[in-house]
Amino acid sequence: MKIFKITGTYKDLVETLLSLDYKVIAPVNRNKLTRFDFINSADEVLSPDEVLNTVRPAKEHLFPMTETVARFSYEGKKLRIGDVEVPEEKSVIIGLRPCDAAAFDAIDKIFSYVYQDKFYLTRRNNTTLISVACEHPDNACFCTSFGISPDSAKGSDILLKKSKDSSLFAFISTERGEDLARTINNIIPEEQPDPGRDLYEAAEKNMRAPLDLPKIKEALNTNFESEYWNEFSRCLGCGSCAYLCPTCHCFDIVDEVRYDKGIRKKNWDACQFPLFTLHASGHNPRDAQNKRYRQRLMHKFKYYHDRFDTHLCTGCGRCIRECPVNIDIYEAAAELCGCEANI
Amino acid sequence: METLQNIAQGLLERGDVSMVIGYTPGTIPGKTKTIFARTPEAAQKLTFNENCVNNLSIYLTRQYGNIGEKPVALVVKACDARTVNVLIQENQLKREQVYLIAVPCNGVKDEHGVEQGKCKSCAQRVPKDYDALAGETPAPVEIDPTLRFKALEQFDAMSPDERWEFWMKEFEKCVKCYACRQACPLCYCERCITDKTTPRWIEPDTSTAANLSWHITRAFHLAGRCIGCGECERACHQNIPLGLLNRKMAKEVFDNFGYRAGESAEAKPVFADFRYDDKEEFIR
Amino acid sequence: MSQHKETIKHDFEPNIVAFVCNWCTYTGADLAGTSRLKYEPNVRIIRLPCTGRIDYNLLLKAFESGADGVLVSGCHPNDCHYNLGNFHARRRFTVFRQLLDFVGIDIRRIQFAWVSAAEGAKWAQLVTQVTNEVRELGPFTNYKRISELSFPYKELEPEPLEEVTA
Repeated sequence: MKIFKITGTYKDLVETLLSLDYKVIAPVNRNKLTRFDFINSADEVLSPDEVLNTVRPAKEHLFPMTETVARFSYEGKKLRIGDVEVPEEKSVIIGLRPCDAAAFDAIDKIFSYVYQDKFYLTRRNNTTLISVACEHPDNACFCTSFGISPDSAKGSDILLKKSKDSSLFAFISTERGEDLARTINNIIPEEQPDPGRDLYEAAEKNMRAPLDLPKIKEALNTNFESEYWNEFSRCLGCGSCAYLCPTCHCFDIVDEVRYDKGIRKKNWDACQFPLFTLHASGHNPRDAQNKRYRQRLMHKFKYYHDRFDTHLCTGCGRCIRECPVNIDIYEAAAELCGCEANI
Repeated sequence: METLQNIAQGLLERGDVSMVIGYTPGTIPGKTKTIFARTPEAAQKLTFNENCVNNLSIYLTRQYGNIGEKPVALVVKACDARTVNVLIQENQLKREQVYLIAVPCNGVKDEHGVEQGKCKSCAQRVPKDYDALAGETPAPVEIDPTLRFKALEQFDAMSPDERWEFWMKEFEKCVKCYACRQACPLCYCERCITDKTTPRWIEPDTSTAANLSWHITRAFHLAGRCIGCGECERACHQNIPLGLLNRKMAKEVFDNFGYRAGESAEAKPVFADFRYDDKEEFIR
Repeated sequence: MSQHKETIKHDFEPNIVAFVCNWCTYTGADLAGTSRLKYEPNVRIIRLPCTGRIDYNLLLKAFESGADGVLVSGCHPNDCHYNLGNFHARRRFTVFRQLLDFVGIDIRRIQFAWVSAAEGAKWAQLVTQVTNEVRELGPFTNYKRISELSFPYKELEPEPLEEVTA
């Protein structure tokens, strides 16, 4: 980890990035929606003080909602199939929160597991992540449960942090980050001592207490058939939690055909939909909403951990904020293992 | 005056109902969650306040499997009771299968303290039809009925292209999470048309064209049925003003056929009905 | 004495899809044909049992597939082969038109008519009128644009394709 001092403000930094040969993605408020989007000027960027976490996470830029993965055409009885290339474009995402940056770390594992997903990985390798530490986490944040904190550098190439006297520092943890930092003249290439984390220690105290993850996993191991899950029959089965989650990565493949030409599309999917597990026979192994919610918790806290030694949640709190019926994953996990939910 | 908890407790003690579906405080200030109270003790957890935005009648639809041999008690605001009427009209349940505990409502707010659009034009403090009232009958209020369609006026001044621009910008945001459909108590189809694949009427991707087809379908399937509870708009985290589409449909149905959804459980649904002299000046 | 009218060349020829009922308008269109009535060739007719069967999704699909205009036609009120189909359709289309208008689709692109089996002449006149009106409006670029974006096939064209025998 290298620590450098930054001259000027956050906005100056964004302006410098715009002058470089990168596509810049930053939090914006477009049409009453906070999201990560391509920007043309530093003025439209939401500063870290204006937004804690965007409604939509940045994952859509590496793993788009809809993506064409193959194409085909018919000529009589002959089917011709063609590939789709992913453009190699350098981009930088600035303004991520540590939870969102850590989320990319988690989903890297699945996209490079048995099958190397070139669509995700090409973009991932060409994207530099600049995250910003949180001074004011809200009452839905619980990243400290997952070994990250409001100023964690996990998953970020560069982390921006403030010292007590509000000077801005860049914590660079990867080569990709260093490459970018070298081209930014706002970053003084002179290593600095750690400015301390006073601001963030204070922030951490206001957050939900860390979850006891081993205990939760133990409870998930033994409570598959528990009555506890009936509580979640109130789930409406909308995909809000999955679609807003920075770590959810399920997708569905569909073909769209017009006349003799077709494309194969990859669309986001969610385990809360009944169709997600519906078999062609008509049988559905997860035939009720509480079973689908159980799957969500199992995947986040058990299955993924079993396979990759990482939890599939980074505590960003989006699913808690946006659930229309207030299903709180923190509370659900805590109460499962008989712990009090300290919110 | 009987309190909500007392009514619920009595019902459960006597075994009149299998459960009481109501509100209880949520995990974040200003949010409430649903409680299925099956025991008299659980009834004490019931609450009602200005944050009880959810329309609980969604739990009466068949997919939740809550309706059994015994009736289910439901805590309803005036708007929620209108949804129950539509469900009865459409043969989704019988009146005797549900015990309505009415709560006087002066308007509800989401967790950010924003008053819901539907409340601004609502003069109904208690439902027309209920089995028990928790609290006192509030004094009637007078609200200009035209307020209901006030939000649509801005569109009258726009050209079709301007309206198109407006909606394309909105639909572009849609992520197809289907929260609007799932949060709607009247979207109870066992298999939604958008999930059907032979043929596929609505492409499942998130291109603007596919999103447009979806939103037209959603609005039109609710035309003459939507009572304006606003759950779709509240569930939409992308802030798409879905309520405007529903309200436009309600206005057209009211202007053309004098029908308002959910007013009565006995009325014939507007599209299951017709009059020989319905207007047809648009037909050549 | 035959009179050859010179065909007028237009810059734009609209594609119009007509959804018609089997019993009245389709037969009416047939009559127009057997009566040798001349009308604009821009219309593609799709025959359905009844206007009550004409689902709004069909109309949307037509636009999505590149139609510049849509025409819906069936039996006059009280003439429905199934007694009430067109009454129900009338209610639905009254509202559906307004929905399209609300989202910014020019409702002059979607026309409704009653054409009976005896009204071959009305059909010929109707199609000519609608074609001219839609021609005046020009291609439906708004819908075409979003529809093309949702199907990004062309962009991928230059690359070589692998052959598989199905």
